[in-house]
Amino acid sequence: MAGSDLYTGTLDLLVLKALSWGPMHGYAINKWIRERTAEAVMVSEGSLYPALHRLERRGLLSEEWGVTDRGREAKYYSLTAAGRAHLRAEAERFTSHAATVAAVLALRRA
Amino acid sequence: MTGGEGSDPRRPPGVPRRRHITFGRRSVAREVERELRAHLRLKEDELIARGMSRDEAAREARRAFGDERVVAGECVAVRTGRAASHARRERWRSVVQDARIAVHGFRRAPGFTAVVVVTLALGIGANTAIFSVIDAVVGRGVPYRDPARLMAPSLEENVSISKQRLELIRARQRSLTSVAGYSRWGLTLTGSGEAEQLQGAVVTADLFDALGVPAAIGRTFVDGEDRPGRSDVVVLGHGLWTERFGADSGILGRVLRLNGRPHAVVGVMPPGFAFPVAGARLWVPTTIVADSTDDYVSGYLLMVGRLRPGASRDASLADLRRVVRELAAERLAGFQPGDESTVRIVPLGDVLVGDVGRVLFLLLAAVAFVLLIACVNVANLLLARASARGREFAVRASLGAGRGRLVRQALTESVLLAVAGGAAGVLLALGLIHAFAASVPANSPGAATIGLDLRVLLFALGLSLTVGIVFGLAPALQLARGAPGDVLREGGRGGTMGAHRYRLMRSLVVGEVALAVVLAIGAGLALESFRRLQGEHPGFRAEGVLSFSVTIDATRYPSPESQAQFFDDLFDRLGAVPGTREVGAIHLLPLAGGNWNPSLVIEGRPLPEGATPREVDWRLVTPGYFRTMEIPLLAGRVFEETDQMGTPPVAVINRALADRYFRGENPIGQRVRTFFEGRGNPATIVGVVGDTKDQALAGATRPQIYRSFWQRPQTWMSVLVRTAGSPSSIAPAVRETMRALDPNAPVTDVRRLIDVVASSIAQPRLMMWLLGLFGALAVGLGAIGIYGVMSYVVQQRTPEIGVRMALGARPLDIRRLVLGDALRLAGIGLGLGVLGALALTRFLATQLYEVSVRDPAVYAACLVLLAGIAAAASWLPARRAARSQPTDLLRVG
Repeated sequence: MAGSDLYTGTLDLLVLKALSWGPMHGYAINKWIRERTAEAVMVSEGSLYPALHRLERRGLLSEEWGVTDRGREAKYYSLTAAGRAHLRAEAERFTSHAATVAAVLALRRA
Repeated sequence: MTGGEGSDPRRPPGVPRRRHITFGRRSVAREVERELRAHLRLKEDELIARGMSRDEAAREARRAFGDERVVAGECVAVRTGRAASHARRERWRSVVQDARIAVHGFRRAPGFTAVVVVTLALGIGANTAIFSVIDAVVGRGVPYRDPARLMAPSLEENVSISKQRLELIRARQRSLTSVAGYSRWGLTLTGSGEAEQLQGAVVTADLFDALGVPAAIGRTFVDGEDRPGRSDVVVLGHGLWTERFGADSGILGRVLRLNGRPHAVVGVMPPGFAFPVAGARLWVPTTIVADSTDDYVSGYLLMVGRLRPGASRDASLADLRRVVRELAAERLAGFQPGDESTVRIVPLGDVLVGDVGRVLFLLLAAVAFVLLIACVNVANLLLARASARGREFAVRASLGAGRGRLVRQALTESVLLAVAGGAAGVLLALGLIHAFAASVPANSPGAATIGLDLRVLLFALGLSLTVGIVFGLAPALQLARGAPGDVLREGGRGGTMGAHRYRLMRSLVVGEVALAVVLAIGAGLALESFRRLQGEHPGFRAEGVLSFSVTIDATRYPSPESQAQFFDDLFDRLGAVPGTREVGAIHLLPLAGGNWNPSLVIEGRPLPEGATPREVDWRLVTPGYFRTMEIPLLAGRVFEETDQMGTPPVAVINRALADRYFRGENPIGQRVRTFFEGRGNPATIVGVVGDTKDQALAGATRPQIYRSFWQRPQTWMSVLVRTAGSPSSIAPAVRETMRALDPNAPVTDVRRLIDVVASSIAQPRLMMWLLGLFGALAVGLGAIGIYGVMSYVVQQRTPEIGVRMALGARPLDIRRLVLGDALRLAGIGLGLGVLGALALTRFLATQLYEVSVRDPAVYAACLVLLAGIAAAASWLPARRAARSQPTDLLRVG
């Protein structure tokens, strides 16, 4: 669910993380996150876009139009310096929940 | 895993082109649309590469994307800085989303959902049904102008007044703008079409003014129209006018034959007007009643008064007492000093609704208890479910969902459940209302309007929402409570349960058991009371008797002789009907309502100065009456066919009269008279018969005097036929006989006498059934509650039990452990319930017959029953715990 308080923080963080590997268009970011989180974070593919635009507006991302190697038009996003800093800080903050998340993962294996 | 083509995330885009960034809303929208379309195209490419057709791929891409318009709207809102207003819209959307999630959850737990919905439906349905009856009978009040100022004065509770006395009081009082009188009266309409027996009322001329209701057509009665010597007039009810006269606009002035006398129609009342009972269809002035100046004391009128502006009820009471004191001092109309002490004045609504209102409120309280118990049960189910879902919520919380959001989701679920329960409850109420309406006395003013209307539906909706929030809030707060880590750790191995939640569930069960005890005791008392009431012998044998009313036209049978002749013929013919064993008649059927109770004068034994007149119930019967009813003769003789109009008047009295007014003497041979005999014509007592309960099964028998119909014939009687077989089987023959004898004479109220007796206790029976039903519901729900919580406790304590068993506890010990725990809870509930019952059942006291509200047997029976049910409800969980293997128990997680 795009924009709901439940996912906002997590989704933002994952987008920043995805882009830390380099510029990507929305579809690729989508794929990157979904492949690593199953459907837990994004219910639908569309829900990513409001987050991208929000991050862009906050100056954490920059955007530009480009063409894929198959010749399709797409808008590419990349991390700004502020975005990189934000990712570091937020990742740290989120790690305080790591034990909790680990407990969840441990449960699943039990 | 990766989609390879063109979208490799790690690869920088080739030939990037800078774009001018626009801020106009339109261009932003275009840009967003373009971006989203690009996404869809990339997705389609990938799907096609996987082997889908173009169409399939397009469809699948859109499905996976979700609602494109929503996403685009949100993106545009983010870009243009209108996120706030957009968020408001989104909030509503998320409520819908919450509901969708909830419904999805319910589908996955159909058992849970069904139990909750059914539980709530029972609670809400029963409440809605009772509310609809109260709303119709009590809530809407009396449909007259400024009804709050309408009062019912009386000289004594439930005692009617003579017209002479009423007029004296009216003339002297100063606190009421009008003092009118009325009495229910049966009127036979003949002449136009088939003879018809109609319910109506005799009224004083000012009754309509007092009620403040003008005629819809024509006029009501004018001053003096109730005085002897005026020509007879009638006002019709709207229903009668439309049904019988086809809403004839030329009805005014038309002459109708009522009880054999011509009456001119002067007016038609507006629709919905029916006074004093729902079935009243026409009104005539008191002139139709033969007045006697001989007996001021006996009366047939009930009073209605309208408080003067500024006058209070208390002031009016004082005023009326002053009037009675003055009249007694002046020795007028038989008033005695001290009579003022019994004068009463109560709101008219109380008199018209009567006891039914009290019973209904009692039932409402009982049914509210049932709902409360239902809520407790549902809250417990939700709590148990909450612990199962604790992990889901904890994960969501750890992912950043606010507490508010979680509470909202939980409340959405409970409100949805409540509304579903409410909807099912309304369906249930439809059925119940039908049953209730049939049992509410038909003379209650609103009885005809009982039903499911908008107000009742609003009530049901409001109740559902309240209930949803009340029972949902506790579990919702529980869910959202505490740090997610705690919940996760706690739920992680299911080792212990949240102490808060555990305590809450246990206290809810205690409360639920306590409520169930109160209701069960209330139901037990009503049951015991009804059992005793039903055990009362009416003094006659009702089994095997058919009763019906016969009224003949006084113009066609003008003389007492012709009237006697008609009934003589009728009894002869009825006696010849196969299956008939005895035929008798009485002018007022026992236990069917109505009474003639004049004061009794014993010749040669004047009452001492200032003594209360001797009150008796006066009945006209045929000689066959006592045989037909199997009322035993105790002394002397009953009436004979030879007691005729020409022979000396004779009377038969019941034992209660003999005991009260002839204590230790032989009443036979004494000469007595009442208003009906008149001054010069006393009757000689020839026999004493057994007592019968003519007015009510409950209470003491009243002194009765019987006169022979053959000595004082009249135009209407209730006929009783004792049959060899089933009484109903001869009903067709009875109707046929009447048609053959006189097609103009209506036969009404053809009923088995046992039904007459049964309907006289319909109200206590209904109360017993409903309280019994509510009590059973409460106990059943309580049992489910105990079962649910104990199952849950066992499940939660599984590891502990496992440890105990590993350490050598036997199954018996485990069973004892669980049962002991359950019975401890139940015990506290039982104790609290008994205290509650002691405090609350006193409201039931006026409705009970010969049962104390602290009847120890009832209390004991209820406690044993509930303790047994509590033990039974916790038996299964206990056995389950005891049967498990220690290894299973330790492994559970």
